[in-house]
Amino acid sequence: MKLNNYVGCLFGGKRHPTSFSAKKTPDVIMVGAIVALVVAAGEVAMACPVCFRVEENATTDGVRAAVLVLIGVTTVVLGAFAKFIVGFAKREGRD
Amino acid sequence: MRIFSTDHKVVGLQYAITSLVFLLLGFLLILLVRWQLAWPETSEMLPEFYNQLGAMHGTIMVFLAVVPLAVGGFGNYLVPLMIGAPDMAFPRLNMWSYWLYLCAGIVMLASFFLPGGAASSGWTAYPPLSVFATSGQTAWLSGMFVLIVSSLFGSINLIVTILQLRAPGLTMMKLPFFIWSQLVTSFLLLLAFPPLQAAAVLQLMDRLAGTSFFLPSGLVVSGQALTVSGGGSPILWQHLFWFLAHPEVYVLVLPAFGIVGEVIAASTSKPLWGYRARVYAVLFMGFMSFLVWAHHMFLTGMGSTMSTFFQVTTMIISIPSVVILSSLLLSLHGGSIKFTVPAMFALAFLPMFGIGGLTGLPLGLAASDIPLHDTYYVIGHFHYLVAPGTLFALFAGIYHWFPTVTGRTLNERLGRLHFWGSLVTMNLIFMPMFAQGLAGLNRRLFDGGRQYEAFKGFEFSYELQAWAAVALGLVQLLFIVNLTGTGLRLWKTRAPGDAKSEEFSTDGDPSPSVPRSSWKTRAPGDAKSEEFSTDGDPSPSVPRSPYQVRPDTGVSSATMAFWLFIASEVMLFGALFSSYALLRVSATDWPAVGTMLHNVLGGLNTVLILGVAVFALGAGRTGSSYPRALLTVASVLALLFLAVTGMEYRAALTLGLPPATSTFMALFFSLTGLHALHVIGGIVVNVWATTSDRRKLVARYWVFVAIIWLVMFGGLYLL
Repeated sequence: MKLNNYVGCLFGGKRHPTSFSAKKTPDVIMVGAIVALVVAAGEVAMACPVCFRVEENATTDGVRAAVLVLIGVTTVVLGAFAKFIVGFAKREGRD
Repeated sequence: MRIFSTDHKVVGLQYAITSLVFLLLGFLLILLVRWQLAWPETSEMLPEFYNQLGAMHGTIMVFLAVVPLAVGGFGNYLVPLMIGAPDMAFPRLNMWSYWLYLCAGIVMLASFFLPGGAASSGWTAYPPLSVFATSGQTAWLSGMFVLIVSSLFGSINLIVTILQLRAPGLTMMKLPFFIWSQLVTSFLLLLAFPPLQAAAVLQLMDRLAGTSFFLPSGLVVSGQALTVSGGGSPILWQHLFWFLAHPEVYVLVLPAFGIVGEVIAASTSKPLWGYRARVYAVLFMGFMSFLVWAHHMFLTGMGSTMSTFFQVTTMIISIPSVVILSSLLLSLHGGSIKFTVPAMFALAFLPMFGIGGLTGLPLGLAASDIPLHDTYYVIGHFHYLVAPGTLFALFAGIYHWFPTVTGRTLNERLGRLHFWGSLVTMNLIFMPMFAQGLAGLNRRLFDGGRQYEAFKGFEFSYELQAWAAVALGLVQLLFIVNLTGTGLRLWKTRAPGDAKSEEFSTDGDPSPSVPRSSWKTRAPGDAKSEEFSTDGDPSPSVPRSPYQVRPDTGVSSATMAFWLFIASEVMLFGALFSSYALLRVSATDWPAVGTMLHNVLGGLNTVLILGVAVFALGAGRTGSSYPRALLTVASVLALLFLAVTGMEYRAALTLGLPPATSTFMALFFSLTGLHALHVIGGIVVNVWATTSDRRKLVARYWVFVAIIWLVMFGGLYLL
């Protein structure tokens, strides 16, 4: 029974009235702290061990530009698909 | 049974049988490698041949065996049956997909007989090594190009079939999870392969036209400075390759999840648990898989910003995998599990895949990845995902659906021997790799590292792995005997009705993995007689022709296929523009505007291609008075565009500026050449556009070609 409650919460089943509700605020703080850490100290904490942040040159600039273009194009294409899926889901729900 | 058949079952079987043959060939190659590593002192093998074996093993296993079996074989055979479709949306395209795949495989295999042998630069084909490799590498690239076209045909077909030809009432959230896994896999194939196609074109240019897309300046080979223009970047290849190859991992894994789900549902006699979570997880994984590729490249020194980004995305993408795996595991809870052969393979998949996944986490973080890079640890991790991971799922699928295909059940005793033999031997082969890798043993050493003091002491593990590989081969012989013996009725099997009636009937519930609650809105009688009938098309909501709009998707099959094709084209040109960005930004010198190209000719071409698009749009308009005349004008303008491009080529060559002179000229010839091929393709489809539906599609195609030209014009002529 207990297992079902937990699992139900995780997999979209019916939520037990008391489970997790009391932990909501600490969860938000924890997630906020992690995001803040990643944003603020990401470069220091996860500095590339090959170059130890001494890496600014034309090659890395070029790679960065290439990655941005590739991610940009991918995002546009995936965004178009996402738009189609949302519209499709709405239509399917209506029908 | 016709060989050139368009029937999805025949094509599925063709895919399955061919990919199993490739699987065996790929295994035999690596058997030789294991023998060489165990006893190098008694071996006559040359290092060059050893490299060919390694490169071709990886290529065959990933591109010619596992993916075609998982998607081409299982997808083609089962998807139409499960969704109640009479066949694939484009049966002829389906047939072409298989034959192109076979041609690509033959080209790659035949390269062993070329002077210098097959490709020898690894399955990743990293330059500069691959640019200077023997002609086998050209065959590899050509084969890969054809394979990508085949994959494009197959993936478009699967997506359109699933979305457009579903039986009425079978909404997306009622689809079996297997279908979801095939759908997302097809999207990955559609969008991830084109950048490798672009990279293959560029590497072919480097090899055949003397360009330097992947060759840096000042490169010295065997003590001699190379006479190439330089200015290129080997890292560019890595980006384009891994943009495909990382989603390719999910292409290997997602169909496995789908198959295991079906087998577990059948073996526990209850629907899978957590359907929605699994569907959302697989969708999220599909989206995220495009944003993690550079974690294969931490060693290239991409900088801390990029490094951080890709580490974070890599950690995030592990979450949906865990959700799916947990859901499959929890589905066992409360089920009456029947330990049949497919069930054993499916159950073994869970911990084996778990080992593969968990050992991948250290490789997703730069700090731990860098010492482990290129060691046997990586091989162990990857093989746990694919060998006792995906392959076990595929075996489970074969045992599970063999009765559906042949009406006979595979021999249970041989199956159990096959399972236990494979489980034990695969673990004996791959588990020691973690220890070897953690000790720093490099994966590419011809003699297994015996020449280095630090790598001594691995002889026993190499010999163990070699004998285990031999035993694994013998165990697979049992599987082959079982398949052929049962198929040819050499022994008695279980009554086919037992196996067929429950698992895969299209009368009623097509898949046990779908929650039964999803179906309760329909009367069982309806579901039997109408909803999942594969006889013809009983409902007006399922399109009868490629141009008929399906109400819930809001588009016709032809339009959907067109947009999917355009999406793959956007990825192809996106990869080329990404290459342009890298080469341009990292270049030490770049020609000033107007010094290499004629801006007037470029401007003229811009006017011409815009004219083509305008006339094509006019022809595609509903109620257009002179559509044929307008399309003819568009064709004439397109021909003029090609003529102007030809004039520019001639001028450049006359001035002594062929593609090999600089990366700028290499980019100019490659980009405009590929674009010109699209213009030629457009002129051909103008002739085909005899109906208003077709003209609408052709008009959109020309708009796309014009937009691509505008971006190229800006990059090459104006910036």
